[in-house]
Amino acid sequence: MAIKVLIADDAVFMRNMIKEVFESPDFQVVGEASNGIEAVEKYKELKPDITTMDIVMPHKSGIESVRDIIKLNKDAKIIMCSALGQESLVMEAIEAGAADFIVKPFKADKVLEIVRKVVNME
Amino acid sequence: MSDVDLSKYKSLFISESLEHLDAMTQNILDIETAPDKSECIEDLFRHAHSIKGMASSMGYGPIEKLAHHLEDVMDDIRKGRAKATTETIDALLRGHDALEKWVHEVEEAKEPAFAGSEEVIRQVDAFRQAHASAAKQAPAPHPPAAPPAAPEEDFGGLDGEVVKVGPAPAETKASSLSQLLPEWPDDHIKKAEPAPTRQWYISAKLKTDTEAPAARAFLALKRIGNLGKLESKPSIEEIRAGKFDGSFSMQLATDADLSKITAALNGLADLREYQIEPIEAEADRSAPTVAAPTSDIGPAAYEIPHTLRVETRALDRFINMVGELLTVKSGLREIARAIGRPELDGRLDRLESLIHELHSQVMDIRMMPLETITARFPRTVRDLAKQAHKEIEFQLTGQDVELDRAILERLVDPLIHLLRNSVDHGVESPEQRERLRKPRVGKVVLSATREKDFVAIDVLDDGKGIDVEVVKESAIAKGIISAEEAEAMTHEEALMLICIPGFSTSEQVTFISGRGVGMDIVKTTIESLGGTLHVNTQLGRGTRTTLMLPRTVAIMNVLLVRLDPQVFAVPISKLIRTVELKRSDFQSSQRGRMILFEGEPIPVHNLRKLLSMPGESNDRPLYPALVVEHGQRRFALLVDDFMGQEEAFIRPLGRPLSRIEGLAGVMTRGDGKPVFVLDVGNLA
Repeated sequence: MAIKVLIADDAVFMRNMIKEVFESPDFQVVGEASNGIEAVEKYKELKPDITTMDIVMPHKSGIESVRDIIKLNKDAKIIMCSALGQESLVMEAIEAGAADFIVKPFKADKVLEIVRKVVNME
Repeated sequence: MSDVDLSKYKSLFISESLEHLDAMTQNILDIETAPDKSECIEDLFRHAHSIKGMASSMGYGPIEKLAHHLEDVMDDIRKGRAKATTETIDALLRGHDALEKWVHEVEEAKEPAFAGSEEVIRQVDAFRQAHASAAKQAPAPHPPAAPPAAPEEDFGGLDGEVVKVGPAPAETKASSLSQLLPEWPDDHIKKAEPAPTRQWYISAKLKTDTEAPAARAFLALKRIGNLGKLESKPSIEEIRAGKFDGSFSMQLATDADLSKITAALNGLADLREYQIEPIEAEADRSAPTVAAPTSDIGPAAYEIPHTLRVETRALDRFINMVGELLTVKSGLREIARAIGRPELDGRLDRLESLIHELHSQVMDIRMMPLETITARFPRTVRDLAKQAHKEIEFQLTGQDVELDRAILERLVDPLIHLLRNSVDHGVESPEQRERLRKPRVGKVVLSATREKDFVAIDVLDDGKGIDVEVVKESAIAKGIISAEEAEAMTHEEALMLICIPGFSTSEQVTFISGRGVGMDIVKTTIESLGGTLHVNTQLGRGTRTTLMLPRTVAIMNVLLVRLDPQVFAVPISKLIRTVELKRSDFQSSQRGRMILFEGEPIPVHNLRKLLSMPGESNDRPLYPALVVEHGQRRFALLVDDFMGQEEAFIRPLGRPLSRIEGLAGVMTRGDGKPVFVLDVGNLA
């Protein structure tokens, strides 16, 4: 069964790039969110296997959204989308319960490697 | 000996061997011309010997064997048993090429096959039998090199790296159960003893190209920490503060068994290697001792070196960190501005100048002499000349001029293109030259000079030059320009026609004009590096191509522009000016919308449309626009707003983004948001 993915990022461009990475029968992008509030709502609604979460988003930051989602499901698998110079924010997100992270600019095979490792995590 | 992890030496083997091979090329060519050959032969012998020694330590039999046989040929020359004829030189070059191919195979292949090695070695031997008068009687000049340092079965598999399997020897307290990623097969894990509530010592190293390494280590400690009680070095707090150099170790008290620990470690990305060892209750807790290699690899082992070999990726990491510092600095400045504390400005200025200093120091380390790539060119020109039946004297000057290694890497192909053009199409055949009363031997020169922040590289020849009239005629015939346009062109403009894609691919044109294939690619590559290309020619006298290249890359002044809701960056160097246009400024023509800029009509494009972004710019009194200059072209790009200038560190894009046309890289702003840098020149 395809792995269900939710993509949370305020930039359409970034969402499209990430969607392209998941263009394979192994994955199904079930939803997209353009801010933190929407990300939490969509998570509740769609119950994805994997959520990719931009750190910096309007209305509610990615880190706050991770906290909210982990409250709903402590085993939620969230992968943070970070950029150069955001190491401390990434650590904060991990502290909040994020399972892993990827660094922009994304390399497709690297993203998939990390997603697969997270999916296979106990 | 089987404890030595040969994988650690593999990259060193490759880099050192390639250096020796480069030096060998020069030595071999020198033998042909140098009056005193003995010194060249000595050098050559030493390089081959070093390669032989290293290859034997690594267990690369065929490399060791061929290097040994080449030594024999050299020894024959040294001892006067053979002459350094053109055939001898060719034989040495062939052997050299085979060695080089195999070293690259070691670099690239999981299990190097060294295909055809028997045949190459046989050929070298046959050559020696045929050419060395006393070779048959002469005893082998050297004892064979030491047997391979490690048994064959310890080598190979996982990229030729060492994998050790099985329980640790009982007599060592902290014996290592070393293993390498990516995967430890499950059946091996099951063979390991389960260990209820035990202490483990775990050490790990991240890959050198790990992005956000401190965050990666942080994640590792969190995951392992979930299994039990953890003490780590560096501590979580230290890692949080960025005190992290790529490796970490920890002591874990857990009732989870070994398979759980390895599963947790295997679930982590970017781990280069790790070791897990049980700690017995009475065992001393010092770090495990790893047996030092018992054989030296390379002559450097005998003396304290004055220089250190640094992996280029380590330098990239440095640059990335400088980039992060710049990001943090801009963030601080924004905060200082927002909270209105001008007294911070002085300290921020100081911080800025320190970062600049650090940046220039790191950039200096990245600089490498042009020689790094041109050392092979005499050989290239020799081969090309031989193929084309030309007689050519090749001169290299200014080889100590330094450029950023990233630029050097991309210069190899363009320079070879230019040299090939000079040899194939520039310099005439010896007979022709004699008829033209030119010296029989043609001249090709590659020279480099530094001009402030730029380096000028000239490739010139004394060949037949380019007939500009023929170039124009061909361009008209191909429909690239009209006869009127050709009439109006300057000599220089007409010459640049050879750089238009589609112009130079025709056999006929190549033949007539004397300039050939791929000039468009050369020009594009040079421009993508921020450089320019000029061609200068005199009919019957020769051609000079001049490349002007920036010495360094990476930090750039950009203008941030908004295209709601996105922000993009445009390199300032590509802009002539920013303007604000009124509706009445736009004029329509057959070539689309135009505006008058400095008295000349230039086309106007909507950047939003060029980027295929949805939405329309609203009607407004003033339209902000960028005036861009790209090569000879000027055009204006409409944007939603200007957001100010920033000094940015530009990172190249990885796949799949690198395939998108019009993106030059990515930068990070003070707020941590990534911003794409547009290659505006190639957008319109």
